Amino acid sequence: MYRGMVILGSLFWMLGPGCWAAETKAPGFYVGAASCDITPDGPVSLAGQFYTRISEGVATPIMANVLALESIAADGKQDHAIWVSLDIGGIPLIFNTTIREAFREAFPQLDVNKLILSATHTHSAPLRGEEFSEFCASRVIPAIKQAWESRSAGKYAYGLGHAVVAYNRRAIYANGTAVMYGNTNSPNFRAMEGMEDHDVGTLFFWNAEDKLIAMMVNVACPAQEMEHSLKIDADFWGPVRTMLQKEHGEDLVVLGVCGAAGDMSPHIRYRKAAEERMRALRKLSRTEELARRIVRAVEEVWEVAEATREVPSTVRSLYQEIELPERKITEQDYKEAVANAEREEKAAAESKDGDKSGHSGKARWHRRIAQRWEKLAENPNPMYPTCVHVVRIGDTVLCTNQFELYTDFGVQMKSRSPAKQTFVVQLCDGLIGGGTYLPSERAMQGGGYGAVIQSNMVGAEGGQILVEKTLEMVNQLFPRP
Amino acid sequence: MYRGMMILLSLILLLGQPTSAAERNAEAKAALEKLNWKITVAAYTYRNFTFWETVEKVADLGVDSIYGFNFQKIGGGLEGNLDPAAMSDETLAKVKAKLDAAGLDLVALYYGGFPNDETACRKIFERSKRLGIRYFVSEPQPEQLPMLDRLAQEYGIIVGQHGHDKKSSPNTWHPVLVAKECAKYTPAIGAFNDTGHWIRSELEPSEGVAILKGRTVGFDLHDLDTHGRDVPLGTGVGKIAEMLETLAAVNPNPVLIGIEYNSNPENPTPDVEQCLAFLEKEAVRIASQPLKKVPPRKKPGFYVGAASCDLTPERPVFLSGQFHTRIASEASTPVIANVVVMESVGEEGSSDCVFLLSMDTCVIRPEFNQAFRKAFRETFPQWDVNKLILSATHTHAAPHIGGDGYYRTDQKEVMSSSEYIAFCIPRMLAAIEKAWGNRSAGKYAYGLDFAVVACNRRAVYADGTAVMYGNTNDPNFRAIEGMEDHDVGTLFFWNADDQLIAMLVNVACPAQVHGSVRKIDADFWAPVRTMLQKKYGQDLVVLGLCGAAGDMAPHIRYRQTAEVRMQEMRKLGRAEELARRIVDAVDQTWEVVERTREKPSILKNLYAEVQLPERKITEDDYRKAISEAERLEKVAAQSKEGGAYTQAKWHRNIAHRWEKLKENPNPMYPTCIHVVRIGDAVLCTNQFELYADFGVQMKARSAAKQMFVVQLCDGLVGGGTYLPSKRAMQGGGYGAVIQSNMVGAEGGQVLVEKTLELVNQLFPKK
Repeated sequence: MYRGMVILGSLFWMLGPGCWAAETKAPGFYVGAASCDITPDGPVSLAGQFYTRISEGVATPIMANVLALESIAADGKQDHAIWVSLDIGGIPLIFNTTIREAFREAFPQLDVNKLILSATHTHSAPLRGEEFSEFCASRVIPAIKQAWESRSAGKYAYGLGHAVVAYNRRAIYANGTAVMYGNTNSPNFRAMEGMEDHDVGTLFFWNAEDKLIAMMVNVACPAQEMEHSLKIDADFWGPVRTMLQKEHGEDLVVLGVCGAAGDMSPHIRYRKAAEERMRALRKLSRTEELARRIVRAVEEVWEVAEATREVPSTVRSLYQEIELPERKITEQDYKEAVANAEREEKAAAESKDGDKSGHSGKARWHRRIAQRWEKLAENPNPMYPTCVHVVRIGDTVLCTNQFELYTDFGVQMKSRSPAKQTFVVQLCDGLIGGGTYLPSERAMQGGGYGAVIQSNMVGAEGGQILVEKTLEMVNQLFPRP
Repeated sequence: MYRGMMILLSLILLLGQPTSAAERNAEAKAALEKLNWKITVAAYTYRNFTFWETVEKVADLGVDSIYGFNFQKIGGGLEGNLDPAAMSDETLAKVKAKLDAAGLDLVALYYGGFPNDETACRKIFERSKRLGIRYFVSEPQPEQLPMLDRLAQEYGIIVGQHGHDKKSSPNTWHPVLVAKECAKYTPAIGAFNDTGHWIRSELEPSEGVAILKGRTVGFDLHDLDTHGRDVPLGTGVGKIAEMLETLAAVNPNPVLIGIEYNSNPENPTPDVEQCLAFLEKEAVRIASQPLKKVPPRKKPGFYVGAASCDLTPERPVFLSGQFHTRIASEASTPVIANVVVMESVGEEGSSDCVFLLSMDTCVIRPEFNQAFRKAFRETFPQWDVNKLILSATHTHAAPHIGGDGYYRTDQKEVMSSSEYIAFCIPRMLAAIEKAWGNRSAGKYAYGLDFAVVACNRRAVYADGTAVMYGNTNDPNFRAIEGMEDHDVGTLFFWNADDQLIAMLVNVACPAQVHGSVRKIDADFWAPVRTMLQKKYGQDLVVLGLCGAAGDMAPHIRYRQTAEVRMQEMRKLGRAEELARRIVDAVDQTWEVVERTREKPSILKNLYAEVQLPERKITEDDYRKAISEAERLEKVAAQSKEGGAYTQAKWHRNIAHRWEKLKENPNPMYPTCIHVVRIGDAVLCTNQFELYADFGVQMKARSAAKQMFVVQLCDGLVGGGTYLPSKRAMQGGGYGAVIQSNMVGAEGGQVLVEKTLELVNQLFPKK
C-alpha cells in the first residue's frame, strides 16, 4: 500500500493538477481568466523617471490580469498560451526571471515559453528589485493557476475600433532635429515625426456558460499620463477596467496590452486648449477621458462582434529566441557619453535636493555607453538576444516584442500580416533585458531622447530584422493554402 | 393753313417742357421747398482763392448762398481770415456789403474749434449773427456742447457736428456717435455730415442718414470714385441719390446741403455746376414720388442665417477629379451647396459679415471663382466680395467647374463646364440671398472630437522614395510618411427661435471614397448630412469643410481586412462607415457643448492676398517633363479615352513654367487667405491641397481656443494644386513632384506664417 501511495503521489507531483484537465479534455478551445492585485503595501520607489519618486498612496490599484488559452486538436495535439498583462513599466530581467522560475516550479506541465508577460508601461508602479518581483510572483502564480484551472470550453470574437489616444511625441524642427515633447508652438516646429496608430483591437472570450469572462484590449499608447505622479496608479487602464466591468460584469478580466508605441505618449502635443476644454466640459480627468475613448471603441466593436462569437479554428503559440544586431556605438557617441556622464555625476554630487532632478540616473544612462563601447573591442558586431511570441487565435494573431517599439514597425507588421487582424504588443518579456526604445530610421536621423544611442540597444536595422522574424513566425501560423 | 399749323407746332414744342433756366429752377425750387432742403456751395471748393474772389465765383453759379470757412483769407484788400471774432467792425461791414452786392447769404461757417470760454464763444456767435450766419459747422469737444447748445438757442444759430476720419475725429466720425450726442441736446445741436469722409471710412451715406434721422442739419456733400477722389455728385460710389431718398424719408426738418468739391481746385466751377444740376434733378424726382420705406436698423448682436441649394444637373456632365474623362448621366446622391451667413452688428451698425459656402465639388477652379465673384458683385453691390468664402469638399464625383476643353467628348448632350457653371451660379446666389434674408439674432457653440477617417496615403520605402497609394504589403515598405489629423471640429448655430439651423463640420479628409465612379456623388458628406438631418432636423444645413489633407485619402492603406470586416458586419459601404464615424464625433461634441451656446463675443472676417514663392523648376524637371509629355501625346493621339491627353498637359505645364523662368527667375504665386474669428474659434482658409503637417503647425501655434483649417477654398489665379511638406518633396511621388505643385514647402511655410499673422491680429495678446 505504501508503495502504491508513493507512486500515486509521484504521479500527482509529476503531472500536477493541470494535467488532470489535459487528460480529460475533449478537442476544442478552452479559456480561463483571472486577475490579482499587485499593489504593494507601504511606500515604494516608482519606476519611470530618472529621478527617485517614493509613493505616497494609491490612486488606483495595479493589477495583473491573466488569460489562459488552450487548444486541443482532434489528434490530441495540445497548445496553450498564458498571457499576463501587468500594470508595470516594463518587464526587466529580474522580474522576468523570477516569474518564469516560479511558473516552472508551479506548472511543470506547462511550457514556460508559452508564458507571455506584457507591461502597460504605467510610470506609476514599482518595478525594479527582487522584492517587488517576488511579491508579484506570489500573487501572479496563483492567478495563473486560477485562470488555468477555471478554463472551460469557450468562444472568442474580435474586432477593430478606433480611439485617438496616443500622440506621436516627437516634434521635428526646421533644422531636422527631433525632440521628445518638443514645443510645437514654435516658429521652428515643422511636423510630428510620424504617424500614430489609433487602432483599438479587442478580443472577447466567453466561457462554457456563455459568460463573457475576459477582454484583451490593444491600444498603441503607453499608459503614462500620470507619469510624474507620486501615487501608485494603473493610469488610464484603471478607469478602462472599471468602466468595462460596470457594463459587462464585475468579474470581467481586462488585459490592457500596449501596441507598438515607442514614440507615442498620451500627452497632448498640440491644440491643447481645444482638447482640454472638452475634457473640462465633461468634468473628467485626462485618464478618465482617455478611458472614455477606449471604452467607446470597445463598445463599438462589441455591438458588432458579439454576434460573431465562435470557437476559434485553432490556437497556436510560437516562441522564438532571436538575435538582433545591436546599434553600433561610434567613438563620438562614446566621447559625448563620457562627457555627459561626468557632468551628471558632478551635478549629482553637488545636488542639494536629494538629487530630485535625477542626475545619478542620467549619469548611469550615459555610463552604459562607455561600457558598451569598451565591449566593442572584444566583439565589434554585438548581437542582442531577444525573444518573440506569436500566438494565433482563430483568424487573429498576437505578436510580441520586448521593446518600446516605434510605431512604424508595428504598422509594417500589421500591413504584411496574413491574419485577418493583427495585435502587436510591445514591452513583453525578453531574454536579457527589458524595454529600451527601438527607433525607426527617421527617428535615428532626428535624434532626441528615445532615438539617441543611450536610449537604444537595437536600432532601425535590428528593428527591421525583428519585423521580418515576426512575420516569418506569423506566416508559419497562417500557411498559404 | 400750313403756316398756322407750323406756328402751332412750334408753340407746342416750346411749351411742351420747361426749356428755360428760370423754368427749370422754378421746378427745382418748388421741390426743394417741399423737401425742406436748401442748397449752398462751400467756399472750401474755391480754397485756392480768397473769400472775395470766391463770392464772385459762387454768385456766378446762380445760387443765393455761400458756406464759408473761418481760415480762408478774406482778400479784397482786407486783412485777415473770415473769422467774425477776429474781424474788425469795419471789415465785418465790408464783408457783409460784398455778400449783399453779390446777392449771397453767408448761410453757414465752418468753425472747427470753439474756445472753452463762454465769453469768447459769445463774441463769435454775436458777430457771426451780424453776418447773417445761421449754421456753424464744427467739431466741438463733447464737454463744450452744453454751452454751445445754450448759445445756439440764444442766437438762433444751429451748431452742426462735423467729422473727419476716426483718428482725427474720434467723437464725430461715425453717425452713431453723433446721434448719441445730439440726443442729449435741443435741435439747435445737429449733425453736419461730410459724406466724403463717410465714404472713405467705408460707411454707407444712406445708412448714416438713416441712423441720424431728424438730427441731420446739413451736409458737406461729396461723391467719390474708387480711388477716393471727388467726382460730380451721382457719378461716384457714394450712392448719393439713394442717400437723398433716405434723407427725405427720415428727416422732415430743414437741411442745408453744401456742395463741397475738392477736385480741380483751380477751376472747380464746371463740376460744381454738374453737382447743382444733379441735386436739382434729384430734388424734383424725390419730391414727385412717395417717400421710400426705410427699414428699422438691427439691434446690436450676432446674426446668422443658413440655406442650401441643389446643384445636381439634369443633363450628362463631365466629372472632375481624374485625368481621364468620365461622363455622368445619373446621380447616386445629389450634390449640394450649403451656405451660412453671419453678421455682426455693433452700436455703430453692421460691423462685419461672412458668406461661407461649402460646395460638393472637387476644387474651386479659377473659372468658377471668377465667374461667381463677378456675379456676386453684380447681384449684391452692397456687400464686399472679399467676405465671400467658397470651399470644396473635394468629391471626385461632381461636375467639372474648370475650363471648357479639359475633358473632351463628341457626345453633344454633355454639359460643358461653362454651362454647368452658369447653372450653378444663380442657384448659389439665391441661396445666399435666402440665408441673408432669414438671418436672425443667433448663438453658436463649438467643440472637438475625433474620428479616424483619413489615412495618410503616402507609403515610404527602404530607398527613401514615397508613393501615393504605395503597396504597404511589401518587404520594402518602411512607414507611412506622416501623421493624420483625426480631429472633427464642429461649429453649431442657432437662430433667434433657438432652433439649430446649421453646422460646420471640419474633417481633414477629402471626400473621395468614390474617386473613380461614373455617377454624381457627394461622397461621404451625403450620408453625413442625411444622418445629421435625421437626428437634428430635416432643414439643418450642414457644411462639410475639408481640413489640411493634401496627403490624405479615405482609402484604407493597411490592415484592410480587419477594417473591411467590421464594415461588412455593420452592412455599410465605406462612405457610410466614414459617415458613421464623423456623425458619432459630432454627436459626442453636441452632447457636451449644446448647453454652452452663447452669442459669440466677436465676429471678424479678414481677407488677405499674399504671394508665395513658386516651387522652382530645375532643368532636369523640365527635360523629364518634356519627354513624358511627348510620350503621352503620342498615346493620346491613338486613344479616344482622353486620360493621356490631360496627363500630357500636366507635364507640358512644366515646360511653360520653365520658359517663364527666363523672364522671372523668382516667380511668386498669388493667393488669398480668409481668416474668420467667431467668438473663441477661428477658421482659416487656403486654396491648396495642403499637406497635413502645415495644418498641424497652424493649429499648434494658433491663439484661438479652437482652430478650423480649411483647404481647397477660393484662390486668386488657380484652384487646388498640392502643397507638399518638405519630407514629401524629398520622397517624391504624385502630389509632391513638381508637376503637382505650383508652391512647395518653402511657400507652405510662408502660408503658415501669413495665416498666423492674420489670426494673431484677431486674437491680440493682452
